[in-house]
Amino acid sequence: MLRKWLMMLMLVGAVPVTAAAQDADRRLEDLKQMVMELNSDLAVLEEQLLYPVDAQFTVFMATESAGAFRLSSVELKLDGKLLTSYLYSDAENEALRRGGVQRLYLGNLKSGKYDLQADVVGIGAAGKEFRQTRQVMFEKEARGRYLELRVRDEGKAPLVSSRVW
Amino acid sequence: MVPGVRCWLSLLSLCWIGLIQAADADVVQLYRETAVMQQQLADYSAAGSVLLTNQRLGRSDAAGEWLLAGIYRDFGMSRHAERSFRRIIAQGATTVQRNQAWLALASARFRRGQVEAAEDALAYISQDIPKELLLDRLRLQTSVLLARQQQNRAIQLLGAAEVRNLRDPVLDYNYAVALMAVQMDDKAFEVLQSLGKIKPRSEEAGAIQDLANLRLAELQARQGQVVEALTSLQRVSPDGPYQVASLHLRAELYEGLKRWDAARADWLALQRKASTEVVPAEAWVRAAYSAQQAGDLPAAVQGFREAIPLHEQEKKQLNQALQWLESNDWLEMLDGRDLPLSADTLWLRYLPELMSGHRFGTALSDYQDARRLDRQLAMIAPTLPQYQSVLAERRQAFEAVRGQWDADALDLRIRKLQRQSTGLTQQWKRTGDGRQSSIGVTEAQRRMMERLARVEVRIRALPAGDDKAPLLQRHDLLRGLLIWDSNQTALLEREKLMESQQAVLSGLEQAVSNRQRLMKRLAEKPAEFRQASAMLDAMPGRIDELRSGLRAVMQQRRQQLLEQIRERLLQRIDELQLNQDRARYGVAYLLDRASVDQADKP
Repeated sequence: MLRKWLMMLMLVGAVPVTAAAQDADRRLEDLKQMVMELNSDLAVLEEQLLYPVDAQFTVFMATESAGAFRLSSVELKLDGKLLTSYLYSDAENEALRRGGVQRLYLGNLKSGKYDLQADVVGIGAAGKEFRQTRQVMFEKEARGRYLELRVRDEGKAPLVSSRVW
Repeated sequence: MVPGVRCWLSLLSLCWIGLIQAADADVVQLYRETAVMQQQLADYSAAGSVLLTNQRLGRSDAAGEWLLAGIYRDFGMSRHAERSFRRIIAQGATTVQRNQAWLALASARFRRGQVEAAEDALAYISQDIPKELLLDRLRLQTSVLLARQQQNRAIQLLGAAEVRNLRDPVLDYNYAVALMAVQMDDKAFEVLQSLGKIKPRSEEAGAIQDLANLRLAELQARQGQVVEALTSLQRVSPDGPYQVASLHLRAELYEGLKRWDAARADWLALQRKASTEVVPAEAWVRAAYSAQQAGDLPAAVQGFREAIPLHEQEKKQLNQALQWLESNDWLEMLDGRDLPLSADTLWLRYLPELMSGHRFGTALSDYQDARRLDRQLAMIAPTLPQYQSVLAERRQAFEAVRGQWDADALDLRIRKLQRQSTGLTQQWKRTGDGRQSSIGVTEAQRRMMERLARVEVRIRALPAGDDKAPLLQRHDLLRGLLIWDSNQTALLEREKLMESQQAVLSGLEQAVSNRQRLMKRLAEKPAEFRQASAMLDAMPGRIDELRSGLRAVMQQRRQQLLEQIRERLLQRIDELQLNQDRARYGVAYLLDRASVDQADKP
């Protein structure tokens, strides 16, 4: 119902605002910017304190779906030990479908060789369950490592691919 | 590796915490797309924070700046959006990007009700733009012109053949609206008729088609074409957003035609919709009036009688809702969710039209934004001690490693390298100026030299004679050969010396540079810790200040919304009161007439 009325708003157009309303707008706008900056201050501090760039290990999750593919869950294991797992909502699936990327994991790793296993579960065409495991061997050096997992669904069976930087 | 050097390198590595690693373009893109994820989840604050963080950690690019500008626009931050878009334009954007930026800016301004400023921004868009952008520009441009009451300019714009050929329902509808506003009914009629008959391709197009048919019916009714108007209304969807307005108009048209049974049927149909829609308060009284006109007086009396308690009940419910709104948290209910109908949610039914208004929509979205931010901040506050504790741990770890590191060991190494270098330089000089002939001379060569020296002494001691000169000649020849041989060995030795010297100098240079860098980081690190600590110390104050500002905004917007809701509910109460009075009058009139008729009977 709300959408229909919002559509009507588009038809009827806007009403010019008063100077007082503009001041209130400005105040709220400044508050929004200050909250963003505060959040950013904490995010920078968190990365610097907890995840220094030379030790950082980040896993990103993305989907590329032209069909009905829907991501249900992802589980990450590093050298056989559970690293993280995540369940996806409809809204998150839609956000991924529209070009969003999820930072699935952020942590630290010492230099060395690793074996990462990603268990991806989803629902494909005609409600068929999809399960695929992707194994990624990589070497962590004294610099940040980034891993992208991407589920591609181009009409045939979905495929999980990975890239490491 | 030397233990001291390992310790030194590990310390260097520790000190690099916080140094920015140049990020790969693909990684930058991934980080940017995490902001897209938040944007798509409509968490604009989180999306903006991600992009600001990316900028500060050196993993941002031009596309990130573009995205941030768009997020500012979507989050109602038109001034920040404008600043960002202007910066992008100034940095040498392409024509397409420039057009997109100005369009986005115009749309941001229009959404905030800055109609003239929106028009200014639209003026910067070049004429040769792609179709998708053209459509958006035309829609916005039309809305701007209509909002500024410049219907003639809107007509000129929308009447152009190339715009008409786009066959866009929104543009066509706005064209008809502009035409009707300047009484160009014939042309409006033509546009609405064509719009009302096309096959809608989407829900949005279907709603516009319904609206077009409704406006067409109004226009036809105004021109006395009642039958045609009724035909147009038949095309309005019976379960769309304009179903009530359509039934209302149709009932009135039947009344005009004195088709009282048909009119009554529509008024009764409207009454039945009252369980799900807000129907005109007059539906009950006018259904009874239609029955009266149709000669069904018992049904008319019953209709009037039923209307009185019904209106009373609705008025009572609305008055209770007004009281409830004063003291309860009702704003959560405006989130667009479908709530079950109850005494506490009844008032929501009267709002859809209000919510479509700019004033209400803006105040509501501001309130919701402020509330979301306030909640985010409330969640941050309890996590601050954890940051402090991690910072303290890192500080301790740094001090511990710094304590383990012996500064003298590194200096000792540098001094040793310096001594080696000095020794090699001196050796080099000695081989070069011949002051030390033994440089580069092997042991065998040295012994041979000594023997030759002794032989020379003995030859020179011989009495002068014919055989002395040839002996000296042979001695000189041998000595010459020996010197030549020694020089060859010295040259090789000098080359070796040079290589060693270069290696030592390079090691020394590296050691000094590392030491300088380490000293710099060691000097900076405590300052960084202090800075982080000061930032964390200031955080509760910042949060309190922001929350207080946000709560003031919420309070102000809540009041604005409440006033508008109250106005709407009071208006409905007035309508109900008026129709209740009419119903009372109807009952009295009909009963009076019945008693007169009874009295008149012989």
